[in-house]
This record gives sequence, C-alpha cells and structure tokens, in this order.
Amino acid sequence: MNTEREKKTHSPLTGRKYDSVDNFLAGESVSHDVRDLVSKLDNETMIVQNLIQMRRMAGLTQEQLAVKIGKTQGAVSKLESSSDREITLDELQAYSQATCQEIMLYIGKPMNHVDSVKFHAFGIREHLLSLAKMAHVDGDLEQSIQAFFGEAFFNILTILGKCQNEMPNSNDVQVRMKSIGHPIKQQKLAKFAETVPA
Amino acid sequence: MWQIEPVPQWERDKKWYEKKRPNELAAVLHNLKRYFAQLNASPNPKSFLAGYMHPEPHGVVALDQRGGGGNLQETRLYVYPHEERKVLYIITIGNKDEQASNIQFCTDFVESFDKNG
Repeated sequence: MNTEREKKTHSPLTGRKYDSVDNFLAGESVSHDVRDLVSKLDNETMIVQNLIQMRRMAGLTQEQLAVKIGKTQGAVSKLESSSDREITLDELQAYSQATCQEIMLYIGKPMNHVDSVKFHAFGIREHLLSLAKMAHVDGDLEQSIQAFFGEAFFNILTILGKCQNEMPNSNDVQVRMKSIGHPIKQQKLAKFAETVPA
Repeated sequence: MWQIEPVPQWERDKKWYEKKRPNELAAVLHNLKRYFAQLNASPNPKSFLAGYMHPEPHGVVALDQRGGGGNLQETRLYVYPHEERKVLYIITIGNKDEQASNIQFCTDFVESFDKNG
C-alpha cells in the first residue's frame, strides 16, 4: 500500500490554526463523507464525552476522580475511551456523585417538536413558580427574582420572535425592552404580557 | 484553550486516506476529537490516558483507529501537543508497517521545532 504514497517530507508550518476539531475538519476541506462518518462515531460516544466534561467542570484529573470513585486511573481511562454502549448506570452514578453534578435520564416515548416545547414550557413554569415561592422568604431574594423574571420574560419573547421570523411570509417581529432603573414589578410584567397577542 | 495546527504532510496524507481508507481516516479523526476534549479537560497532556492513545518518543502521541468498527487497518494519527504554545500539531497518518519511519518523521519534526523555536 505504501508504495503508492509519496515520501514524507518536512515543510514549513501551515500557520492555519483551529479552536475545535469540527472547525479543523471544515477548514481543511475534509470530505463530507468522512465528516459524516466522524459524526456517526461521535454519536456513539456522546454520554462518555459528557462524563469527561463533568470531570473537567469539577476540576478533577482522571487520577483524582479514580480515588473518589474507588477505582484506578486505568479504569477511569478505559471508561473514558469506551463507547456509550459499554457504560453502566453504576458508573453514571459514580461520576454524578464524584463531580456533584446531576445526570438526567428521560424515559418515555420519543417526543415530537410540539410535545418537546410543551414539556419544556411546563418545566419552565414549575421552576418559575418555585422561584416565586422563594421570593416570599426575604426581600433581597425577592428583588433578585423579580429582576430575573424580567430578564426571563424578555429572553423568552426574543426567542419566540426570532423563531416566528423564520416562518414563511412572516412579518418582522421585534422584541424591544427599555432599560429600566428598578427591577420590573410583577404586576407591570403581567400587564405587559396581556398586551402581547397570543 | 488548545488550538490545532496541521503540518503540510497532513494535507498529503489526508488526500490519500480520503480516497483509499476513508473509514480509517474517520476513526482516527474521531479519536482526535476525544483526545482534543481530554486535552482541554486536563491540566497537562500527560495527566490522562486512553486506550486509543500511544505515547511515542519526544512527547509525540499516536492516536489509533480503535472504536471505528471492525475490519479496519491498524492506523495511527501522529500528533504533538506543544505545552507552551497550547497548540496540537497534526503531523502525519500511517499504518502499522510505516510505524518506524513515521515515528522518525515525527521525531525530526519535534527536534527541528525545538531548534528553530
């Protein structure tokens, strides 16, 4: 096979730098067929990549994590170079505990886009209600939560506006918010919400 | 954060592998992704291990095709993580038969690098 290949020679550096492998593959014009194959392989190690990310966010080396979960660095290294199919629930739990981070597992029928939006909307409502309950505990907290509600309100409307603009024949929807010195009061937000058409 | 810089030999290798061994190329590039994620997740390039990684002389690391599926030819992507510059150089790709000459090629690369700064 090697006889077909040119002899390897040293030349000056290319000077082309990339901050991710995806950018490197695109910038170096790697064929779409090869990039598709790489993506397929990436999909088989998504959970493992998340575990590595969890360890990184916890500021732990493989060795430090191994001590925390009662394994050797070799075992952690093996796990982090395996595919998702080989990971056990015990290992997920060990990473979760060692890094003090949550791993969420979804069990149920695959959701379509509309179901997903509803699912997340209900989730957002639950969290906002919990925050509203917390606001009753002390004044400082109330102010911060009030400010967060204003921010969240604006961000959600902005997302909706941007998505609406992607629709065919859409009129340009723009969400504007004036900078206000004090956190917006909830009543004002509610009134503002009433003026936005459903 | 680390950056990636290919050396000219990589361009020649890439063309050849895209045509003749696309599955092997995809497998080593997938492991490059995993290695690069580890590099960014670790305090230094020597603080982590993985089954697809093979430490070679002068700090060069060979990434193999493991995880890319069965019936793939033994393939190595040679990279060099330059700690001071935080740049991962993509040097060359080759098969098992070429291993000795590829390691020599990488050694020359790192040595010339050290000489020229």
